[in-house]
Amino acid sequence: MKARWHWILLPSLLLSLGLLLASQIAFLRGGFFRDLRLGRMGTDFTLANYERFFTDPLYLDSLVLTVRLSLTVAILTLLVGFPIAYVLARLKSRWTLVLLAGIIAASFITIVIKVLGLIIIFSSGGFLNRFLMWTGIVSSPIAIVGNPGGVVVGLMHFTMGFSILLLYSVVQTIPRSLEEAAEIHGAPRWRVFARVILPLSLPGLVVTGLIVFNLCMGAFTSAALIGGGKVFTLPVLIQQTVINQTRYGMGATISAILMLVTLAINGLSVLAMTKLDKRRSAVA
Amino acid sequence: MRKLGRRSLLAGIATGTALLAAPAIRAQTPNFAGQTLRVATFGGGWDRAVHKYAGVKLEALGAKVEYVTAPPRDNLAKLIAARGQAAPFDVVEMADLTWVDTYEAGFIQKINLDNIPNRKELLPTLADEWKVASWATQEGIVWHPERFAAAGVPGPERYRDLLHPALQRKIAIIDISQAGISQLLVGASIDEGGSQENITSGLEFVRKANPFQFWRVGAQAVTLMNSGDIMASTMHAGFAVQMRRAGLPVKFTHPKVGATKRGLSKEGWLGVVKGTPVARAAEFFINEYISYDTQFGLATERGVVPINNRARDALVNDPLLKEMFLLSEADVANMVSVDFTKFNLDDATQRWSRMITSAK
Repeated sequence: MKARWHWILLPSLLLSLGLLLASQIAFLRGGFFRDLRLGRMGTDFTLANYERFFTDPLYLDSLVLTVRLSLTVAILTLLVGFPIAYVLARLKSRWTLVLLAGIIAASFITIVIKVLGLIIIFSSGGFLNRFLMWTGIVSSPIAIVGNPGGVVVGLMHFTMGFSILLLYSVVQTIPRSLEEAAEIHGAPRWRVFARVILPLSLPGLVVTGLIVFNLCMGAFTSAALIGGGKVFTLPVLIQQTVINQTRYGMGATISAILMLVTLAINGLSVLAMTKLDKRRSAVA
Repeated sequence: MRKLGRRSLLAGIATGTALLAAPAIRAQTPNFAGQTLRVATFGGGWDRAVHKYAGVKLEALGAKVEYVTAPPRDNLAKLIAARGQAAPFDVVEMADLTWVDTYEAGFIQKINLDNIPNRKELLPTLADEWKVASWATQEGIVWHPERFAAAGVPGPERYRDLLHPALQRKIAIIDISQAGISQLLVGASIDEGGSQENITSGLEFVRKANPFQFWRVGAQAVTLMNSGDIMASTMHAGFAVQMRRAGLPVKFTHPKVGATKRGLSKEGWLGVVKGTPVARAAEFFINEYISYDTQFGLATERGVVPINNRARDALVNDPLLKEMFLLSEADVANMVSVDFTKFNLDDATQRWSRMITSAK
């Protein structure tokens, strides 16, 4: 009889789902009731909060901005992180471990410290801006505070460590012999990358991209601190709605929509990957 | 038998009286052995300073003091989340509107003012059966005179002076999520013909000022001032004290508001959380918090203005604090104080968000 190993995943899946639902359901339920301030909610079921979300440009613009920023960060992080992970995975040096340890250690630094560090580095009198102006690359200091570009930098700083570690393990699963075989048969380096490395690491790239995307969809600190109160992503709006305005119902609605959009994008990505995989299997 | 001398007789009477009085004195000195008091207050070292002056006094009587650190709105959120269950703390430190919300939501209980004898050193308006003031801050403008001079901008006297073209993207403004925003919005509004209820002109001031950043943590504005990214920031005078002590040559302006007022005050409040099992310890802690020692210590260490009159008077001996704070009774009385029954933070937050997103 063929062993069904995937059943082993069932307990952890149920546990994760149970914990997620138990903690979220009570809060998300609030989205269907009218806010009476100070965390109190009406008793009549209503879709008023959802109606408001989808008719108010403040919330819709915020949703579009959040998705756009998260997508940008996911793509840029993969573009920057993959070459680093590849080099680390292929490096035959004792420095590999040191560099990996450095990345892991950097991942433990709290995001607030990372963000404040970035603000100092990118300050008008900071060494980066002074260097760029000295070289003539820019004529005035680059500001990362108070604009979406800065938030992208902050989020990349936040997610880069995880993604390099994930991609490192992905690259390690690709046998070096496959690359060598392609090279022996005369494939130039770019072709080896395009025909061997990229297809084999694609599932890992998608998973890493989705993890980074998901982290960014819910990221608050970078958007709040580097955004300088001018970049209203959904997590910033949720905090403002729940903490400042104590409108828990509306806060729950925004949270639910954020979660549903994130789940939908994840689902669609997995669906697309599955189709691609089937097509590739059929061709093979 | 030896004859009893007068000195021996007096000594005997004194000893006897002391022995008889000892149980009574012991009864008056509270014993909090085995009790744990949880205090919701600010982080960033404020909790440590409070413990150093007030917490240790309670611990000397056997209690244990724990601190739950977060901004007042976050602590209010914790009380809301725990509604119907045991509260997560026994004493809560509130600021501005949070006090009104915490009271209206029914999260605090009456304080037995007989257990707060130090309230006699406060203005009568600063202590009632629901709340006792814990500190005051003086909101205004921290600015860098050298940078202002280099840019040819005169030092600010009012909020509207920050609208100088040379200051575009060169100032920081407190974020809508922070306590202290109400003072700025009300102050800027009154200055432009608005009022506590009508803050449209205050919001317009924020839009026109086009700041480099809206700061959520005071450290952000301090970092930007240090790095040279900004020339001024709306914040309280305590930050100016901290910056000056760190070697940054900043000045502080108590803005003129309207025709006669100058400066804006913000008070912190302490309340006892409803249903606490350690109410007496909570009241003891509050009494120590407003004592001369604690108030003077917090003022000199953290840059807040004491609400204890004696401690405030003592600050005039510190040249830096004297320069940064308004300390005379007349000056304090002439400051603008926000009426939170008129200021609508919910409405202000919504209008603020729309204004900022539409300004891009």
